[in-house]
Amino acid sequence: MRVEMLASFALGVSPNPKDSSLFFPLGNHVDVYFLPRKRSRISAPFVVSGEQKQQPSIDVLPDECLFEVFRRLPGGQERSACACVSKRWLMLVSSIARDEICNSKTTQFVEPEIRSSPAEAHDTAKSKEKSDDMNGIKSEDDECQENDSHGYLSRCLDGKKATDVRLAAIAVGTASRGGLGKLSIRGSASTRGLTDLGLKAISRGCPSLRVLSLWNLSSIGDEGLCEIASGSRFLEKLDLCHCQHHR
Amino acid sequence: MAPKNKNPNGENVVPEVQQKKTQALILKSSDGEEFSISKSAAGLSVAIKNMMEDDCAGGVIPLPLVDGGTLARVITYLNKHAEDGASDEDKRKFDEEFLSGMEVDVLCDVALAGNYLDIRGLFHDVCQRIVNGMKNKSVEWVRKTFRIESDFTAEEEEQIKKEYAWAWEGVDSDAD
Repeated sequence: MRVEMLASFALGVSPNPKDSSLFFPLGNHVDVYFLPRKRSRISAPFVVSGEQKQQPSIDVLPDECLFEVFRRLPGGQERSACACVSKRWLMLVSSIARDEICNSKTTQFVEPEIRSSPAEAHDTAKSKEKSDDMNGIKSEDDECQENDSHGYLSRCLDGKKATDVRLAAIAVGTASRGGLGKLSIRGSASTRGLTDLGLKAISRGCPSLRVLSLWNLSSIGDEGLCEIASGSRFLEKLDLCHCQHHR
Repeated sequence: MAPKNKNPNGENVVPEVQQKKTQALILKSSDGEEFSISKSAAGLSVAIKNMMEDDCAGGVIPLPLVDGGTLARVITYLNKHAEDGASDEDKRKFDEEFLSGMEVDVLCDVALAGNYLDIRGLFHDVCQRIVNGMKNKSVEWVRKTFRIESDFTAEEEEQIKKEYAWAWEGVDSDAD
């Protein structure tokens, strides 16, 4: 009973939100009887479903669901395309570490009886062939990003260009092209500047990072550096200068 | 308490021993539709199973996040996967047909329900299906299809296009 009241509240069923009696139809009775049911497990995620039909349907999915979708993206191109869609998508795509990416071949952890069907896999293969034809290149970036980090990419960001969005974009973008080897950041934008979130994206997307140099960044803290420490295992040089963390 | 054997497949001859296992349960959707489902099928949803174990499932289980249409689909899926005689091959075939006819919006609703009810296999299949649809598509196509508005500033958008210039080339036309 309590569950249903909450539901109609969150779903915006009541025609007039000011009329509180609609929200709490039993409000006048002090001795309301609630069924001896346990705390409703269902109450937490109610908020989303109100305007489900009008809202962008995929964006009602909570982050962890979208994450599950994105980690199945077949290659660098699709990951990049999704990263360009919106900030939320970009940050989600950038938070996928390389070993969390699963292509349809490796979807083994799904219960055996509901494995992805062979016909689907066939589809995949076909569309891949097609994309190869169109690009005139083999889409190597699907599998062997790991190997070719010798001629590594480097990026340098100054002042106001250094934002989380920019770093996340770099992380996703370079991951498909051999991986970022060197990153230098000189100061951060004053509003919406670089935070630990951006460093996290770098640690997830750029496991082959060798040189990281951070100057004049007051908005990053231990959390971001811990992410780098655990994610960037090939780091040879870390240059921190004027990175006093202000809360 | 729910009346015994009220499930729609009641005409199946159920051996006495299984009687208890196949008792019906009522699931109520956000828009008030009620569906009866056998306990064994409902148990494939971890969330519902937990509710049953907590003895919350005495009568009707309200599922305020799932609308009637979606719930009907989910129940079809659960029934198939709880079917005694169905082989893995049958189920695979069923899954494929089940998902292939769905529009993007429906897929998202089913994904949401699958996640919420914790039906792992269904959820993963739907995610894969959504991704398959995105293959070799442009950013604009994705935005249009999923009705997402870009919240990047013009400057950020510009930077991102530069960073991903190669990703904007050679994609399918946006016509479809």
